[in-house]
Amino acid sequence: MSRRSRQQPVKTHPFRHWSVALLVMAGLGGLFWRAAILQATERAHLEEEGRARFIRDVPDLALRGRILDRHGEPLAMSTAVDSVWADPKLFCRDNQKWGLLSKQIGIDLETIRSRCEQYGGRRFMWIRRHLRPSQAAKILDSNIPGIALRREYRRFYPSGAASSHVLGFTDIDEVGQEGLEKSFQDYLAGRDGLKRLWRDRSGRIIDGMEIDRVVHGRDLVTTLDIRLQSLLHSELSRAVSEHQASAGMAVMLEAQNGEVLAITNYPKFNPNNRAEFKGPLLRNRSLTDPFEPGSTMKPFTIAMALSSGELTPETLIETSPGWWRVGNKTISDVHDYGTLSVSGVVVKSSNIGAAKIAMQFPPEELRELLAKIGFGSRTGIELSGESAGRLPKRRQWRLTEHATLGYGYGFSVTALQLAQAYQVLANDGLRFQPTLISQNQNARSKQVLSAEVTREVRAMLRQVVTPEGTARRARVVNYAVAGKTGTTKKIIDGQYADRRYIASFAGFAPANKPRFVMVVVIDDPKGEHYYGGRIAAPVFSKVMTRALHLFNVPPQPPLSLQQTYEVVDASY
Amino acid sequence: MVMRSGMIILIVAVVLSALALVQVRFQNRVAFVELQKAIQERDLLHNHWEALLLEEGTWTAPGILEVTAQQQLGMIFPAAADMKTVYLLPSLSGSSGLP
Repeated sequence: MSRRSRQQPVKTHPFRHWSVALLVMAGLGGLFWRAAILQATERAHLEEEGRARFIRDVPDLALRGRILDRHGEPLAMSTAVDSVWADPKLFCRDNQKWGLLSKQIGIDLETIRSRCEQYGGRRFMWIRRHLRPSQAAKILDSNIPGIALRREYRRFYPSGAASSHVLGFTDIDEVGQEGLEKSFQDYLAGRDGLKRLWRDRSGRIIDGMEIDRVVHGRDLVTTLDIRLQSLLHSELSRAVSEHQASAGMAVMLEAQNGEVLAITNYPKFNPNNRAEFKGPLLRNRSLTDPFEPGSTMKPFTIAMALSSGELTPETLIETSPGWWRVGNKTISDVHDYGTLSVSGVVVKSSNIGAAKIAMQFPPEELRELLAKIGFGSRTGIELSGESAGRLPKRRQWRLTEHATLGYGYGFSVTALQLAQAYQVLANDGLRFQPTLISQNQNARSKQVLSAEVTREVRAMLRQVVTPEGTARRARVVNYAVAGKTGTTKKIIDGQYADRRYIASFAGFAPANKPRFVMVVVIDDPKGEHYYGGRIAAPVFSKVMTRALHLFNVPPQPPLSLQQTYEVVDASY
Repeated sequence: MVMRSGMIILIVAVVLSALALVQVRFQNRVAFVELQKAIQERDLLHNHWEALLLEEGTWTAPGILEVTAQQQLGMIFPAAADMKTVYLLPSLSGSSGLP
C-alpha cells in the first residue's frame, strides 16, 4: 500500500489549494482591516475605555490650616470625617439593604426613597456627610452594593460660642463664609493636588505619578487670647442676661500696638452646630452695629480743648443750675454740679460742661479730631462687614448739633472704633490700626494727640474710677484703672425712645502704664439698672482683674508705700 | 571591521538599556506602592494627632476648666480680702517692678 501510494500521489484539484489560501488570506485581511479601522477611527474611544479601567485621577486633598490664638492654642481646626455616598444605579434597585443602612447611620427610609427617585438616573448621590471614621468604617464592612466612602474634613472650634463671631465658619465644603475663615480663605485653604494612579484588576495601586502637587493650607496665628476671649464672653453673656438686655458687645485691645485680644458679642451662636447659623446671631456686632457713644466721648472734647492750650484741667466751668438751654434744646445733668473744673466735667460726666467746652471752639475742630482718631471710617481690621459708623460733615452746624457733638450725640461709632479711640488715649496719642494678626507688618501708627494732652486726660479718667466718679464698679484691686461710662438713649425709628438705653464703659489699665484697653457695651437693658457705670463697668472690672493677673502685670503699690520709698513717677 | 564591532556594541547597549528600563520601571512601581503606604500611614497619624489636639482643646477650653475647677474640685477665685500683694518697688528692685 505504501509503495503504491508513493508511486501514485493522490491527485488533488488545484481549486482546493486556492480556496484554502484565499480563505486564510481573507481572514487575515479581515483582521488587518479591523485593526486598521480600530486604529484609525476608534482609537481615542478605546484608549479612553482602557484608561477608565486602569487609571484613576485622584485628588490629593489639601488640609485646611488651623487658626491659633497668640499662645498657639487651636481656635479652629479640621478633623478627618467620612462621607457616605451611593451609586444610585447599584444602590437604588435593591431596597432590601436600605433598612440596614438606615439603621446604621440614622436616616429614615423615606429620605432614602425620595433621594433615589431624585437621583435615580445619576451615578452619584450623597447619603450622609461627615461621619466619624470609625462609624463610617462599619457601614463599609456591611458591604451594601453601591455604597462607598469619601474622605472629607470638617472644621471644629474648641472654644465654641466664645469666639464664633471673630473666627466665622466654613460651609460644608470647608470654604470660609464669615469672619477670619472668610478673610483668610486662600491662606488657610491651600490647593488640592492631583495624582494619577494605575490599578490592577483587583484595584491595587501598581503605579502612579503626581500631576499636581498638593499645597496644604497654612496655620493662621492670631492675636486673640483664648482665655480672655472666653472670660470676656462669659462675663458679657452673664451681664446681658442679668439685665435682660437684647444684645452686648465687648472688645479688648493691647494698648501698645492695637492688637485685638478679644472680641465677643451676644447673642451668640455655636459654630459647631449648623442649625444655629441664623442671621441676627451671626452678626459681629462690635464691628457692624454703630451706636451713639454719649459720655464715653467726652474725654475727646476735653482733649481737643487741652490741645488748643486755651484751657487747662483746672479751668472752671459753670454747670449750675443743672440745665442749659441751647437753641431749642435743653441740656441737663443728673444733678446740679455747680462750678466744675475741666477734670470735674469728666469725673462727674456733666453734659452741660462738655457742651460748654465744645462750644468755645468751632465745631469743625472737634469733628476733625474725632475723624483723626478714627471715627467715621473703618478701622481696617481683617474682617468683612465692618461699619464705618457715622460722623456727619456739615457746612452749617446748628447750635444744638454743635453742643450735642460735645457730649457724644449726633454721630455713631462701633465698639471697635471706641476701643481704638481709647487705645489712642492709653498710648500717648499714638493711634494703631486694630489687627487680629500677630506681627502684622502693615500695622501703621500715627500721632493724633500729643503725649502731654493724653497724660492729662488719663489722669482725669483715673478719677472717674474712684468712689467720687461714676465708675467705681470698674475698679480693680491693686491696680489703677482709667475709664469713662456712657449711658445713651437708644434711637428707634429715628427718634429717641423712652426708657430704652445703651450702657457702655470704655477704659484701660493699669492707668499709669496702660496694657489693656477694653470697651463693654450693653444694648437695651430692661432690668432695674441701665447706667453704664452700673451694668457695663462690672464686666470691665472682672475681666480686667483676670487679664492683669494672667499677663503678670505687676500690681501698683498703694500711695502710702510709694511715698515711703519716694518713688518719683508723675503718672502714678 | 570597525563598523561591525561598533554595531555589536550598540546592539548590546540597546538590549542592556532595554532590560535596565524594565528593571527601573519595576523598582519605580515597588517604590511608589511603598510611598503610597507611607502617605496613608502619615495621613492616619495626622488625623489621629488632630483628633487628639481637638480633644485636648475641648477639655482645656476655659469654660470647661472653670466648671471643673469650681464644681468638681471646689476651687474658688480668691476674693480681694483673701489676697496678699507683695510689691516689688522700683526703688528696691530696679525699674521693671519684676525680677
